[in-house]
Amino acid sequence: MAKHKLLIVDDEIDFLEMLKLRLEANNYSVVTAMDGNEALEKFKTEKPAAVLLDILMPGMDGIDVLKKIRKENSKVPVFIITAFSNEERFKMANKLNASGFIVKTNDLQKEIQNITSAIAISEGFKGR
Amino acid sequence: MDNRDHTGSEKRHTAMGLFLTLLAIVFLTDILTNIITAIFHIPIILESVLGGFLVISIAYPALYLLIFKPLSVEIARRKRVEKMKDEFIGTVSHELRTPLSITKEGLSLVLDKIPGPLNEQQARILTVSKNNINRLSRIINDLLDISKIDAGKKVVRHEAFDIIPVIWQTMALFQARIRDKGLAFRSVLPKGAIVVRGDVDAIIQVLTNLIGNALKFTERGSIDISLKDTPEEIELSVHDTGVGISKEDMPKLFEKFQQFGRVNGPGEKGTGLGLAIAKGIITAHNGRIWAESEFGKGTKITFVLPKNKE
Repeated sequence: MAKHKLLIVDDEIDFLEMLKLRLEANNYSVVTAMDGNEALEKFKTEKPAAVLLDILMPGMDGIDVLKKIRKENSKVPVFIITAFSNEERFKMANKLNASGFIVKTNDLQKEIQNITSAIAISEGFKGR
Repeated sequence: MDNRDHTGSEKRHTAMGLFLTLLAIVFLTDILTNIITAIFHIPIILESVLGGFLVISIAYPALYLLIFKPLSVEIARRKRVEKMKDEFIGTVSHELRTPLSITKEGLSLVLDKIPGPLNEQQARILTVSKNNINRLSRIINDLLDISKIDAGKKVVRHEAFDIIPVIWQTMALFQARIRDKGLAFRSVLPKGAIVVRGDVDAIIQVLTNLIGNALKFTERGSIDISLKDTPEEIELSVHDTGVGISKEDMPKLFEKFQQFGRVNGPGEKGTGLGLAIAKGIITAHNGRIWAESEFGKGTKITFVLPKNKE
């Protein structure tokens, strides 16, 4: 099976590196971006199967990036990377059209389990 | 506690100030009225009109300068402090969690042997490191909870929910660990739904803290959950046959950073904040929480939650 390409966006370079290693070990190919503009540029050129997006970034924040991504493509799964859990998460979930969350402080191996199924669902939509 | 005392004495000072100011104004306007009446031979009939005029022209600016202005400045200052505190909590939580999560993930990657093989000693060292990173995460989360409780921002929802499935779900999280320790884990719960009103996440946290403590401090015997239902309130107990709490430690039990019967050696270590958080949450629900214990025989922690029917 061909590797799915993921775009991960986070201004924290160390976290980006760790998450990249984790995803590559799970048989994904990974492209990274460190800010909103780079993310949008790579979203257009790399055409990732899913995006993992940090909310709190200097300059264009994750919410603006997500809005712009949705203008280009309404189906691609976007997971929000967050340092918070519980109530803050639910508040954000209502606001954004996101597929799920990657909670930084949790076990990342568990957090990334839903990515493949989200991609499968979005590709199912594409086929119709 | 301290904050409340401060607010109390400030309120008394403000009330006293207001009373004295009013007294001074009445006194002052009366004297002024008499002086002006005497100097200008103002007829008696106009005296009260003059008095009224003086009260308005002196009392209003005086009240404004002496009472309302300082009060509004003080209110604005407190709002600013409150906002700064909220921002501080938010920043701290984000700034501390990010480096922690990166370190934790680095250790996990090596422990999961993603960069390559690992010998037993290396794995053990990294496991200890990871456990302590997790401990640090718990301390940060608990400290944030304590500050939220102090700011009155922990219990935010007041929704009706059935507490029975909440108890089952929380128990399910502990089932495996309690079984691994060879303890009996039982519950006596009434049949049917029992609806209470409150913040379900906060109540889950209370239950988690109580069952977690029972598990930590019980080596043999059992952990029992029981629930009494009355029309006005529910009474929930977590009863263990563990190490118990000594009489001297009992009064400090629900205070912050108190750890008793601490288990040395490996295993999950506490933060000393679990019961303080539980008490804060239950108090915010207008409930009560208390402990009964016999040293060496076991502990029973009970909380009462009003149903707050609407």
